[in-house]
Amino acid sequence: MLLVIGLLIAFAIPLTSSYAKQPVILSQSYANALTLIKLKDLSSPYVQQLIRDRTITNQDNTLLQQAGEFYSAGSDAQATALIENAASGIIPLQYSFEVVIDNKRIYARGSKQEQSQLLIASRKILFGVTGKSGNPWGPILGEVRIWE
Amino acid sequence: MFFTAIVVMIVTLVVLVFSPQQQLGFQDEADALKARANALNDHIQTLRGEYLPQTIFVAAYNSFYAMSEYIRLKGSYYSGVDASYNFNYTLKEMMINGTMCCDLSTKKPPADCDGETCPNCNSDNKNQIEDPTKHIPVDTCLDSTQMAGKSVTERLDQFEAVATNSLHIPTKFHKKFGEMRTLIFQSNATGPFQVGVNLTINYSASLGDMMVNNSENINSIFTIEGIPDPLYAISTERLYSNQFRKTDVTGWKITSFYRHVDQRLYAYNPNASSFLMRFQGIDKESECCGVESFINPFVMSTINDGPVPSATDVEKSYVDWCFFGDRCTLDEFGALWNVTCITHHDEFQKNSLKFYKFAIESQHAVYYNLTNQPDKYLAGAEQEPCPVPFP
Repeated sequence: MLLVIGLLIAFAIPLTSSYAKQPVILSQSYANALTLIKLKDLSSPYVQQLIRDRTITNQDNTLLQQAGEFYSAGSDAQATALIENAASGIIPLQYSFEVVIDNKRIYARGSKQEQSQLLIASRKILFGVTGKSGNPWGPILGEVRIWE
Repeated sequence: MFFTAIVVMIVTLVVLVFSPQQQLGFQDEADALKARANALNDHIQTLRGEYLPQTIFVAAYNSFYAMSEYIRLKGSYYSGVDASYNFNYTLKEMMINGTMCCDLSTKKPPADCDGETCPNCNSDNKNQIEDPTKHIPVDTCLDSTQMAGKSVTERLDQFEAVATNSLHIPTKFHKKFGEMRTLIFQSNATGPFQVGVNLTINYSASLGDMMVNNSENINSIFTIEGIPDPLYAISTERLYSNQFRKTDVTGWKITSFYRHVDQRLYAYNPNASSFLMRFQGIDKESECCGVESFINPFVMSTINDGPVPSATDVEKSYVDWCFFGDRCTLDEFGALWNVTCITHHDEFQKNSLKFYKFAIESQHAVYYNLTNQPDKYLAGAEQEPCPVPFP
């Protein structure tokens, strides 16, 4: 009798919230990484090369901002290559993710979103200025979606 | 006793089963609330710390550029008793609305102003400066695309649309011209090669049941690099222009001085007028922010030909404000100098040799370190060969 009651209690108590939230927190961190990490803080050889050949002029841009700048300049392929080369090293392979800028999918990796149990999105309004002469781009919406 | 124990256990079980779920529900709600608060806070931080300062920079930089072009096309600075007010009001209107009182004879007034019979806006008249019905877009006035999509109002409209429709954080700015206060300044904080703009703006943003209502005082300090200097356009009757570009030379030598003149760069000098003064035709020293460049007679090849202020009759120092103005005293140290390695006097080679008739007065010769090399580079003293290689 006591054994039955003990088992009932054990199964009845839900998982502690901190344990259940771990995947959420991790996913959120990875999604935020693309919207927060500045290019100057990345050790990606690909980014370093773009800085050297002056394709990237503002090292204070975040990865997502830089992708947004490429996209706004009509260089979708450059935005895709940037995410593919730089972001793939930040987000572990077990996570699937995609980057959407101005409602257009710039890059996607992994399984389909529909198959996921947990999807985390980080959204940010992207904007900037090219050169010193005050030519603005944006504002446009940038979004990182990440799932397992 | 046995049944009592069973009942106690069942009650305990019920309590255990239900209580954690209630706690989790509350926790979830608190987490969601926190997430919303964080999202709204992040949005406000982006707006306050990045978007608004950048919006001011974009609008102000391009307004100064457009204002310089307007002054050039008009051929004169703002004048009359309200000159300073009219200039500042127009600059604010350019920044905020992208419109202006356009006093160019080639431009028609707004379409609803009855076409041919409606007089042009007089930009030296305070009443017309303040009358928006007489104003037209800056780009229409200048036949340009300088301000397209760059005024504060347009940039705020764009942000509202993205924030509300895509980010789902409805954001609203108070965009009435009169409610936005602006202050344009130069000081020790900006230095001579930057300008500061202070804008007061009210806005609100909401997410779910949370709302922020703010009145912000946004400061933006930005470079003047690349903006055309009105002093050149006006003083040469639109023949020549020069853009503000800061020299990176700190220790002056004859070679760096040559390149400085050749590249038509600007240097700080407290005796010169500032960037803002040059837009209003004010020739006055500015302790914090005076800037000057040199007349380059090779690029400005007709500068000595007249009828613009010329050196044909009276020799002048080729510092821009000395050349175009009359504030520069030539007799302070008793001399006006040519510079060895820089000046030549061969009229027939003035288009192939640099720099025909170039001259500098003693005060600037000291300032640019041309006299501490045993009088070598000031012609009139003992001639010295130019350093090799030169420049």
